[in-house]
Amino acid sequence: MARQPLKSLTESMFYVLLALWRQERCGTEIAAYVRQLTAGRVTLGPGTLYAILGKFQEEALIKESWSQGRMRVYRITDVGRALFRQELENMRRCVDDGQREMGEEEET
Amino acid sequence: MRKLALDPMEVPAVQAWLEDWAARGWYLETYGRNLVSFARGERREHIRYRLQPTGREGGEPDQDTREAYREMGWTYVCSTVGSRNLGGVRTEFHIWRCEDPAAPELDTDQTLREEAYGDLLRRGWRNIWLGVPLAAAALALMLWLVWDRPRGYLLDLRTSSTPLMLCCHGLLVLHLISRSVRLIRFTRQLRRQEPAPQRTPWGWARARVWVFQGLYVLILVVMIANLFRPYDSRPYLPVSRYDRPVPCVSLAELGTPAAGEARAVEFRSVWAKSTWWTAEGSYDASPWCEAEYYSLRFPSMAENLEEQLLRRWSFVIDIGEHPEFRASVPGADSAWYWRDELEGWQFLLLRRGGQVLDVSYQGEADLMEHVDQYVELLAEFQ
Repeated sequence: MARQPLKSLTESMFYVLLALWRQERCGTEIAAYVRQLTAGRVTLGPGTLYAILGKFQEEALIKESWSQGRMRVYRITDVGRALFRQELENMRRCVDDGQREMGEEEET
Repeated sequence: MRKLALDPMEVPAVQAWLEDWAARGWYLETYGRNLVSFARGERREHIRYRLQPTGREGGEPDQDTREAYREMGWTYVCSTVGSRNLGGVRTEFHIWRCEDPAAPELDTDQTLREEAYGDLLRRGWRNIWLGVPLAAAALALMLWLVWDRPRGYLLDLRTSSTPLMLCCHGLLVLHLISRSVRLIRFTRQLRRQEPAPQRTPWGWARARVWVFQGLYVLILVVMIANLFRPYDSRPYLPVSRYDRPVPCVSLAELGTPAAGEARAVEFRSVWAKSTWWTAEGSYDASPWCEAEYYSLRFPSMAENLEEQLLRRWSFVIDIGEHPEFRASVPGADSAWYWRDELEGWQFLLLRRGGQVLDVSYQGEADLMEHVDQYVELLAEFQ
């Protein structure tokens, strides 16, 4: 069964949206940004990166803002921002739940 | 240089195979259904090849995609051919090469990688759910043709092509199923987020290709051989030309005038140890005699053959349905005798263990008076 789009993001997807949060970027800039931001923990291969960009465009999470020659630059849409916020909120709750449980365990 | 193509569904094995050839200085150029071509280049270690499922649309990546991948260290080499039809070639995998050890992997997200296999996976399951019943039905039909239809059965006693074809088709079906099963296992590994190897040993993958390509060649050779030398094109030779005894009772031995020497032809097949057809005289003038002798490898087949041979006369009379034509002949497990009073034809069938002798005769003699000679013949050739 294929993963349902728009309901959850993989780590790679999360970082692609994050890379576009503040500014428009092209594919190689996204990959470089993510690598730098995560200190190499998350890398985006071209197969993964362009699959994500294609999927995000289909789901209207991002849009191609301009292109020069073969270089395409993408920007995040309002739908993309909403999904990212929701994902971030879910992750925050996960972290809060985890920390609370771990805190109780450490206290006992 | 050309090589037999490994099955692209064995993704990690194919990747390792291509990388090993690159290390020897041979670089992939094209990946066809059966053959892969390599071009000579300099030997380089750390070259990576990756297979990427093409998805439902097939085709080849466009120039923009190729350029984008190249910027990240990956060069498009070619696409594997999945199938050909009127609409053109449908590709299964794009093959990418990376010469930069520092470049990232082609696919770094296991979930997306597994999703990319979705279309191939659906085809894999379809092969299993549709292919298995269809193949089973085809095999059942072939078996029925062999065992139940007189012509099919009798044909098969003279040539080994049908059992050979059956075995080959059975193995090819197994091959198609195992191909799908391997792909399903691989994608399940991805779905479970287990580390999927990029390289696995390719020796068995190569062995499988050789075996199954060999089977295709064998089927082709058998078909061509049957085309050029079908069983009924074999010549009858005078019995004296054979350097071994021929199971034949001549017209002279039946006490009727001989019309030239008896002729015989021998067939070899996997079912029968020995199959001889003999003929003497011609239909135009009495007397004439024709006989078919079968010594089967499996005696249990003899009863079936007896039934089929009796049915051959059904255009005149269904002998097997008339118990009065059953004869009691010492030394034979079963005997049938029928005489057509109008035309003067006689038909005698004897079965003894795995041997079956079928005699058709027209002439003055009474075959039942000579039945002992036929029983002796069976004993002699047992």
